[in-house]
Amino acid sequence: MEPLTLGIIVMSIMLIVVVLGMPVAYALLGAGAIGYAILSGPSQALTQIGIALWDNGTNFLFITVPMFILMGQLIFHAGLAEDIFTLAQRATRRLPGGLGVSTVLASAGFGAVTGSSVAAVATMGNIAVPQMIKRGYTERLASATVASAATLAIIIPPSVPLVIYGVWSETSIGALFIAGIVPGIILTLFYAVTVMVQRSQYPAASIVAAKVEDEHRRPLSDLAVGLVSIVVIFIVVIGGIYAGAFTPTEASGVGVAGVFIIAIISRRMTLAALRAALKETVRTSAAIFMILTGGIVLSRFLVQTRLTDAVVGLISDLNAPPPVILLALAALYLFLGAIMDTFGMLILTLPLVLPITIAIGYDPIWTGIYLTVLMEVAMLTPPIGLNVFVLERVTGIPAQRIFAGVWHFVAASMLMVVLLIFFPEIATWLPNTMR
Amino acid sequence: MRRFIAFFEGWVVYIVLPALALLVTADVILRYVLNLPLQWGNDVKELLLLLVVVAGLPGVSHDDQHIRVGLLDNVLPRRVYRAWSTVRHILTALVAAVIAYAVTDLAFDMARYGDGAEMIAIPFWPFAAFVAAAAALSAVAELLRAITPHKKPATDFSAKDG
Repeated sequence: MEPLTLGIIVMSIMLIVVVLGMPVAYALLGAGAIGYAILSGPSQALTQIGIALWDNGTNFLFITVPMFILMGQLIFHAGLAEDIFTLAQRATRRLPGGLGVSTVLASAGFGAVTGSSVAAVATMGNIAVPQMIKRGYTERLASATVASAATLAIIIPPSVPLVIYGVWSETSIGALFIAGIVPGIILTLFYAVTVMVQRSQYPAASIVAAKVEDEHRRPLSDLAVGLVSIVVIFIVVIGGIYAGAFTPTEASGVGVAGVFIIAIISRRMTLAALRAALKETVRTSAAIFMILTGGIVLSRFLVQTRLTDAVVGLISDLNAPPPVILLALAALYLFLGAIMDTFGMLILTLPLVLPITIAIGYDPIWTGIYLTVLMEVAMLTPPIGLNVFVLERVTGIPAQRIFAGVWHFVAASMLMVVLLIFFPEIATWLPNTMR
Repeated sequence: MRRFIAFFEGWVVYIVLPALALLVTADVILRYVLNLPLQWGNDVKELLLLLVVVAGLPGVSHDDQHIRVGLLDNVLPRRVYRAWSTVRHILTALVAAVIAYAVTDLAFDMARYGDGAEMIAIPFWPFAAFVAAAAALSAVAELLRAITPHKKPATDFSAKDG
């Protein structure tokens, strides 16, 4: 059998079993192994599996994944995000939709010290949604704001998906983190405006402001613990990477230590919370590690079959302008996001998509940011929309109602996608200024 | 099985992961503050990382927390769902068993050739053997899930991080 034909058949079978519900990691790894066994013999397949597991499991860069997950888990369990939300409420209380805007700002702040949108949605869902509903926001806007704003955690550094992308594509993780800052800030503003323009979904600012002033009489110095700690950790971790003082791995260790010390000093860390954070970190790291390893086994097999070259050649032969190709890729991700988990989607498509974006002249760092924004959209769109389901579980608001509200935010994210396509400097300017 | 898996991942959760975090941080302090980098630091960190990323695999399999597409879970009739659920757990167990076999092979090779860390005398084969054990336990956990009655899942996102 021709290697190319074999590649197409293996990819097709793999996609079918993934859609049928087999764990993505095992589908990727199993498909890659079967392909290798047919192409080069079973012993070669076994060797590839062993090497992929060992090389990835001992990949120094991958240390950032458990470390940044642990950092997010510690902040989540220590409740530091609540302080930022309360402070943001005070700062924005006189704006129209101020409570929604404060939710967006607090989510962005939370995202600045964790790389996980699931941790962000679980945290902000508990804190912000009840407050917003209590003050007259519709359930639809309250839940959609939290589900959408939580996606900021994966674009604003540190970001677990950007680490995975960096490890997979051998792109500088530090540069990827820095590249996420400007798009992250722009998206934060877009989301804040998206809340403010939905005037029929929230009460007048004056009514909310009076309630905020009535209910939040904790002294500012008390609240500042969360804000100051998050600002300090962000500056040390991301500033250290930007200045070339730390590698991302070192920065992740410093971040974990910083959060842990703050949580202990502010007496917010119980033994039970610490145990939960550690266990969750090990479980999540295992799931992500396996999916990355499976993706690498499959992509190495695809390279052997020259399927990747064939797809890139096919796209190049279309002679379509790069923005058209990128918009077509965005449409593809919207479709895949509707049926697949974000990590699965990323690892599954990278072997084909990265060579295409490089071939049409886009930087791998830019591609990482572009794909991350598309992953944000995938986290919100039905039927898979991960953040929506997490929020449903946290708040009890039906997923359908949350889905009905997220479309405004999805439109804002798609505007960001278009901006990135036509102004790639949004993502590439800041990393180009790094030392 | 649950107890055994809890023990298997427990020592990594409560000892190895904190040790890794401590080592990464200590290395930064020793390197930048005291100018005393740990020569063996990276070797040890990489091996601890390996333990951290595989120790959770049996638990993830046991609690069905692997990242997967649940599109058909609520569409399929109950009997078809049960049948497919059994098949997918068996398929997953097969892949996990192949991984266990492949890494066992690797562990034997490492022991035979005396592979070890560069800067500190730590042999690689026990770590490869641990990976093989994790994969084998995952295969067993998947098989157990295949033969136990299936409920339609209440979505669990604990291992699906984005």
